Amino acid sequence: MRKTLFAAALAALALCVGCAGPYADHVTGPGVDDVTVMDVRTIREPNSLSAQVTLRNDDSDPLRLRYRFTWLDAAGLAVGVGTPTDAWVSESLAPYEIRYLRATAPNGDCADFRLYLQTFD
Amino acid sequence: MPRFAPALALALLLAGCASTTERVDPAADAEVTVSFDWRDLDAATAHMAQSLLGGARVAAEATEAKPALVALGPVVNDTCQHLDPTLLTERLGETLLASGRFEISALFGATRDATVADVRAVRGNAEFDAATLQAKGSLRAPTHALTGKLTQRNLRRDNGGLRIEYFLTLRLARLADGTVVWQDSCQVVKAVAAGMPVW
Repeated sequence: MRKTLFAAALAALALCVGCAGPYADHVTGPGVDDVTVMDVRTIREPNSLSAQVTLRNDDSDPLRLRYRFTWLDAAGLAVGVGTPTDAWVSESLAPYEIRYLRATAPNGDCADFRLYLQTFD
Repeated sequence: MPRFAPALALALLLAGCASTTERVDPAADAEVTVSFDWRDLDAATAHMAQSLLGGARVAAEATEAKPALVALGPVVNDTCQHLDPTLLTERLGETLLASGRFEISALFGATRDATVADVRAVRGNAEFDAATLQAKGSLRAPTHALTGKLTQRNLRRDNGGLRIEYFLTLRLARLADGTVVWQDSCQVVKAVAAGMPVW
């Protein structure tokens, strides 16, 4: 009985880890469940850092979403809060469309980013 | 005392409540207006900021080691609305400064700061300690200028309503030779039903 319970708990844990997806560190928000995050990459250039997140709308209906990139420095502190690089952006994805969301960091001190996704009807 | 008096008092109280001023949370504000409002301004500057910071040519001539000095020039307001288009360049200026790759000139353009000239006009005034006056030849001329245009077009829809199309174009020119090193545009389109007043 104990073994069965342990196996069930392990399966549930594995399922939860599976739900989070491989890009959960970077892409968060309630909209994550409505799209497939296909790829996340960052490009470091001499004076800046750019990010690209690839999303796919797996639904046969158009999807309206808005997103926001938050940039972090090496210490994990948010950079550029309140400036135009921190603004919400609205997009509309056609059925099964793959969209590449790109953003450039507010300055060269940025080390990482978070993308917050929200979908709405 | 009539029985309906308390109900009347309550109705008056509620009516009074309805006319109070509310503070709008910008993060949760989904209201759409026919004007080019602050949400449009925010979206436009966000688009332009990303485009400008990511511009390949801009990256070559605006670095942290050698920042470009930008004069925020005029943004022509070719709309029927009374709005100050320098809001666009000033908001964008925040991004430029935060990047560390640009500086903003306070000497030229729509955001000119008259104080820079005022503090130099008092040279020779015995009331001032000469050692605290600004030295001659210390001002820097800008290397680039950011200018643009906001245009509005009203188009009649088949149902009698109107489409209001706003086009914003911004460009960054290198002043040394007059070459445009970055340019981008974005549009905001709104539609209203027949009979709604539009500028």
